[in-house]
Amino acid sequence: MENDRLNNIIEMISSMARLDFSKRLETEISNDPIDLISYGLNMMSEELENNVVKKSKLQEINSNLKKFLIP
Amino acid sequence: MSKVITKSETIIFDSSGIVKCCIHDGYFLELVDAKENIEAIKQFANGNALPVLVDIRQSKGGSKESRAYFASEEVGKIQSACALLVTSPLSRLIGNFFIGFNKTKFPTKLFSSEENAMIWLKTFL
Repeated sequence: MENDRLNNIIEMISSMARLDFSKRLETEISNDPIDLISYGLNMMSEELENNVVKKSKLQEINSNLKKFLIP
Repeated sequence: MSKVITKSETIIFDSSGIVKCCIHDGYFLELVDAKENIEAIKQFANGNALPVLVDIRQSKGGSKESRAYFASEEVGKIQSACALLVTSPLSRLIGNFFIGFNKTKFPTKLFSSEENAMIWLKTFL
């Protein structure tokens, strides 16, 4: 059971490394160390996904603005 | 002393000039809860920005939307500083995520002692 949870955590970290922030770990919200790691990873994935989207939009805006620059 | 009890928090405003919020045991805040709590604080603020103590020791956390709302301009107008009271590893994790990812418009700090939190908050009166 614990091995499954740890394997899921490793899988999630691997997904995040590929910039895939779609996965979430099933977890109880408690002070159990593995629950804490899972909860923290879920939050981190949410926030990183948010920031990646923002960065992408800013890059698009920047790219569009460059078209108006006088050479 | 004035007191408001919302779905997620008990909020007290007394002669200290500091708003004290205590999240109810095991509660997970959604955006609607965050907005309800800020509306309650606005009643005490009377157009001013007040220092706020938030006891998250029994909290289960909050949604991404609620965390983003607490870091918004709107909340920045009524809060001059925020002290988060934490003790357990869970509450420390929640507090650190909030400080790290959600940049508030006012100084925010984690404390394990209410007394030290109040001393710090009084510097913002």
